[in-house]
Amino acid sequence: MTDVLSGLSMLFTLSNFMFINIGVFIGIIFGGIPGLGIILAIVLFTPMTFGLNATPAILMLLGIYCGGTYGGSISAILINTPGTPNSAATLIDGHPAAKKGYAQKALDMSLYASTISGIISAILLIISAPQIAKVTLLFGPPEFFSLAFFGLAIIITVSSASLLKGIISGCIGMFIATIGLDPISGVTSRFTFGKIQLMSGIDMLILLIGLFAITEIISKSKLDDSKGPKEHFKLNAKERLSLTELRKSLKTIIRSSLLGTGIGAVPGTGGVLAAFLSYDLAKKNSKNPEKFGHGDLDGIAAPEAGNNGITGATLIPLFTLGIPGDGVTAILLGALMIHGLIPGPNLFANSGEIVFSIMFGLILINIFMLIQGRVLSKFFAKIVDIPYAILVPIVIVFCTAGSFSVRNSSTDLFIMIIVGILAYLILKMGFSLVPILLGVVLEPIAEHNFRNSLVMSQGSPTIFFTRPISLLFIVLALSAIGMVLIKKMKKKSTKEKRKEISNEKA
Amino acid sequence: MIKIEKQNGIRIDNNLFSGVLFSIISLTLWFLVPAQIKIRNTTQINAQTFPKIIIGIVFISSALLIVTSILNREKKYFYINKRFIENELRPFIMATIILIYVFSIQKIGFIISSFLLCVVIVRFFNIKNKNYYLITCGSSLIISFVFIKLLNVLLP
Repeated sequence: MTDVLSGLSMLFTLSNFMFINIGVFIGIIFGGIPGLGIILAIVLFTPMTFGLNATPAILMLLGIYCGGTYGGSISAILINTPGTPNSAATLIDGHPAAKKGYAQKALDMSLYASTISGIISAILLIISAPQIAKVTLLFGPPEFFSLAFFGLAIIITVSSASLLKGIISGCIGMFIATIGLDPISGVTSRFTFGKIQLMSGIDMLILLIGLFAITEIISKSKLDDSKGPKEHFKLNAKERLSLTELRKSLKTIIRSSLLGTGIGAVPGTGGVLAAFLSYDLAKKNSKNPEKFGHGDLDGIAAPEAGNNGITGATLIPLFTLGIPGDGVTAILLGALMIHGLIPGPNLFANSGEIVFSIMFGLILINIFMLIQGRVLSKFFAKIVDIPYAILVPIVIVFCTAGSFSVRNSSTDLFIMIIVGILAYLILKMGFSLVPILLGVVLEPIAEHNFRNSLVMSQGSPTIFFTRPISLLFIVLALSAIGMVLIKKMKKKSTKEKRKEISNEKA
Repeated sequence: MIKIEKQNGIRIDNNLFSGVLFSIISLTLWFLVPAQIKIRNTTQINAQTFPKIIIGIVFISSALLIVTSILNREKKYFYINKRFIENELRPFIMATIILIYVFSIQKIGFIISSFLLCVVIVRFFNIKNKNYYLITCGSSLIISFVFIKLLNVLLP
């Protein structure tokens, strides 16, 4: 209780309010511009939070997360292109609504649904996370190792088209994390090739910028920008969403929020799934399902409530187990560690008041998002016009300054660009980048606890299978991998059957 | 794995190529372990253990990738031909520009290099509108100001 009260008193400061608003503003802009996205925004602005205390820093980054999740709907509605993958389901009804002349109404519905859902999700986070954290305090080294294994297995299975390539990606990340001094002996250098600069390892932020920002910039170079701004629908201030219209969709919003929160709490699911399932559920429960796809307001409310429902929920496994549910939370995990908050069972015991202030701050973030969305809607509608020719150089300058600021080292700039180029090539070969990041994040936890467990068991690996919680995580990880394999085999046999049928017909 | 076709250019089996590449990398790293991780104690679990496990998993996965790609009838190819070069030329130029930018920062400083970068990239996107140059150069100046003055970073 003392943690809750001190967390609340820590939260209500002018500087926290300011950084929340800055984060939300940046998030909406980055979410609203197709191709930029939340990951890039968090990666770019993490160096800016170095000088801040943990609470305003994480609140600013969470502001980007929530603002970005909502911001994706702006371009989905106005130019029929989702700003983030989470908003892909929003364009099904969002853009037709704009075509009918209700662009402002559609944006308002998206904003209200996102806010309500974000608040519901934050409340459930506040209620459930401390309870789960109490259970996880019982964990020892074997449990932590299997938890890291489980987290990696989940990300590998959901973010890669090929399981084997996902495993290789995860291992690349883990290998990168081993570079530098061995954390246990503290004197043995590993894969430094005699370079003093590599003794302290490769900084996580440099890696993040290289992996996600530089790769994105290199990919963006293919785009043609010379044709001028994209065509989009103008907003009509007289066409705002009425209270009656909001009330009509309230049931859909609450149902989708709960669904989104439930989905978000399961690692490896994500906003895209939450949005599409919410849309489907709303359509099935609608009295007028035929209106879906033609600009129905419930069709906008459902996916937006669904995808924003995950914003608080994904933090449940992140805060309590140290397991990020998706790419964005994997980066948030890195950011938390940079600010000295080590997610996992001890987070509540060691930094309870900060965590509570962050969790309550999530409610404030959603309230400020509503205010900004209402007041600045006309401005946000214009961001979809910003050309890549302007964005790309600004992002590069930002990346470079951010990378240099980590250790004031020019070597880091070269590491950033080399990582970016290699990541681009790896992407071209069909590998995913998110498991690399998670490998980097989870390797220290995995290795430390693996070695400690084996010391405990005098070298016997059976320790991971004889302790129930550890065994549970291993079984869960293996079943996740097994399910992917079964799914693939089923897909293959269906394809072959179809081929046979088409051959017979021919 | 690699086949030259008259019509489509050089054909490469994506999975097979990835498998071979990573098995070579993992084997090289495996043999580098004793030289790169010099252990003083001879305990069973030491600084080499975890990196060896990781490298071993990469090797096994790469080998499995090679086997599955040989057995699988549906192959994913990529072609190195005129179209591929045209497609990848712009990313290659962009990567080179960033690399030159990083080099130039140490020679002529962050602010001037950033101005030059903005001009080169706006030109790269084939934009002639002067406002684009002004906006990007102005933004890079603001970013420099924020990092130098507000965040106390000693940019070169």
